[in-house]
Amino acid sequence: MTEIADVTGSADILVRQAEKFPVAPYLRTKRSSRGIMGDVCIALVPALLGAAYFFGMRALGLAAASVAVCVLTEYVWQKLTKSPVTVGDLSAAVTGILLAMNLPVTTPYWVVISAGIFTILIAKQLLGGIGNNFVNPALLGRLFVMLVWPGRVMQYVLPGSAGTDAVTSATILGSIKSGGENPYSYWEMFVGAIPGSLGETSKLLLLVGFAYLCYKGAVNAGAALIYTGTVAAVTFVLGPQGLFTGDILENLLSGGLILGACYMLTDYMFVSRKGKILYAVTAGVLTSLFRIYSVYPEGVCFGILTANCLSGAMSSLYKRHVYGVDRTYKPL
Amino acid sequence: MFRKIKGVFPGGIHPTDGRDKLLTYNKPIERFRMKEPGPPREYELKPMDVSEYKRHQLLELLEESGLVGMGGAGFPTSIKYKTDKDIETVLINAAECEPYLTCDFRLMVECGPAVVNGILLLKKAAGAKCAVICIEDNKRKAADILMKITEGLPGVEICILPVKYPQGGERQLIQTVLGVEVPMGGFPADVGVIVSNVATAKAAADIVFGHEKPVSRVVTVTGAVSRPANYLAPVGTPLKDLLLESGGVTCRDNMVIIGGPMTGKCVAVNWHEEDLGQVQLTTSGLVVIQGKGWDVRPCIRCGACIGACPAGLSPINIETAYLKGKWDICKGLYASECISCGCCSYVCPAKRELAYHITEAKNMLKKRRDVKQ
Repeated sequence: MTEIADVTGSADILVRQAEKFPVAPYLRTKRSSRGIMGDVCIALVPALLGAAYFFGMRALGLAAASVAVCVLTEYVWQKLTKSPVTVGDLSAAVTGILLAMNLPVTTPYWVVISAGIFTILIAKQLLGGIGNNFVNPALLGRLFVMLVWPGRVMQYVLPGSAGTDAVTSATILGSIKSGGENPYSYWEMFVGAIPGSLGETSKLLLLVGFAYLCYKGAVNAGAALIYTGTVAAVTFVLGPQGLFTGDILENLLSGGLILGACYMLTDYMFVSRKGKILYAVTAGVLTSLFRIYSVYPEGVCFGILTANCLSGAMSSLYKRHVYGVDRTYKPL
Repeated sequence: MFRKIKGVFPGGIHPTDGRDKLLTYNKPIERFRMKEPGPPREYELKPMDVSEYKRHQLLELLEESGLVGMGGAGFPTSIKYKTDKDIETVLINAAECEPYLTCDFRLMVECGPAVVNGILLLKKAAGAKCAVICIEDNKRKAADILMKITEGLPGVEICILPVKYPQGGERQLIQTVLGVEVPMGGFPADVGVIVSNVATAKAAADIVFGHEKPVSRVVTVTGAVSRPANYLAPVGTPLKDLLLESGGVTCRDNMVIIGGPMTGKCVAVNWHEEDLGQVQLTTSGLVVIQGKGWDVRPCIRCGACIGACPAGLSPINIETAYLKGKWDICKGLYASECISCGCCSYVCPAKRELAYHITEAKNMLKKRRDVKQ
């Protein structure tokens, strides 16, 4: 009776065994996994070029190294485990770009390479591989280097001062956390002439890419908007000088908030439409609380990762109505 | 009389831009190996008086004729109408939401009076108060023609439906027109509805008024063929002959599909005049689609299948459970409620065979339930 119960092969083998000809439906969407991931890559190009402009060509070198390591690790791992090679999906490449964008330009190459290997091997493949990761691999990779080599990945420099005489500078959030003032105007923060990780300084270029993704229909902007809105609201209410004193624009334009909202939070997650709202709000509240109360200046990474971990529970909160099933009926 | 829709079903897709239907939209039905028709009979010209027929008489006639639903499922019509439930409405399914197919549309355009007479008979056979002809918005021409014929007929209404696949799914049709859902495990009769295809109605008129057995039907032969057309062909006609009559396939990588491209069955790839089976009462089309299948990739969790499912299921979760052989999980996720419309497979960017696997899961659950009983 359970003749396929012990079949562990992939789905296509199963279909081929069962059916001589392709199975219905015979019309399929033109969208493909590779197309979607390719669009994400394209969307990240403006921010990458911006990074090269602000921090010098080393930024591109780091990104290239990160992508190469991620793709290679995935390829070798899948060859070794004799599983289908999925590097053609470009998802490893996207992870590589996002990982590089999360690191400052001063990061040594060997740190990037270790981070890439960790990201793909541990955070992606060992946690299930594409489609089964419950957390964003790039964010977990960033968390990994942040905890293991904090000194190596927190040396932020001023844009335009790359090289041997680089001027180390705290990020805006960092200097505010340590009681300092924010010396940059909102415009500078928006365009990206501020110290920070490779891909998170220029909000303008990130948003350009995000607009492209929305236009292509690859992402739903709703979650990103709710997330940033929540962060704005919470950081405003719990401001540094008491209730309702937060600087909304400063909080929106500093750190990796826009990068996280546009490219990490919207990473595909099985959460129902209503569940997505809860998911985005949770991530927003957590991000704000980490920003305000933790020892780290930035909370995006922690906030989204925690929300990632909670997404399974959240999707079970909202049961979709199945046709013909009584709305009050509870399945096991 | 026009009737307003009372609901919408969630999900659904627009698989094509509708141009595919234009291939055969304006072409009159051609007779294939059928003898020339005689002069039109009375029921083929105007609505008839059906008051002289008693319900049981009609049921007997339907049973004798062996008529089955011509929409595709092929459920015996007499059994469907013999229900002891109170039937309020008969829905005449003329949505024809499958891309490419126009056989029902041409039937309504060319045999309008016979179709209407069939509807009157089916209404009587069900003991229903009213019959609603459900037509998608892209087939206004048929709606206008039927509107003219049914003017002044009490209890026959026309409902224009939004264009969305699977609008013609039995359960989705009921949800749209009447705003109610058929309870899980139940039949439309449980909510006082019987759904019949418009071709079935026409066949019923032929049986009762024309004293003809249902031995022919209109088949749309379209897609990548030289001369797309609608043929009125006898049951048992080799489909190969129909395809040759249409000039054969026009591209190398092709899939020959019996039925519509969303729910049909592929019977040949790279067709070289091999046998394709025969026309049956349920054969609505023979569609040739260019392509040679898809590479199945890992799921990327975009959730598109969940958004597209008109039944409110989570296709990818059911598929995962099915591939692991976890029947209890399949059951808990209501795999049994899948209508096999194919929306999930259509939208999947990883080209997973979701609909196929969920249908398998559904069949397996049914088998297991039957074994237990």
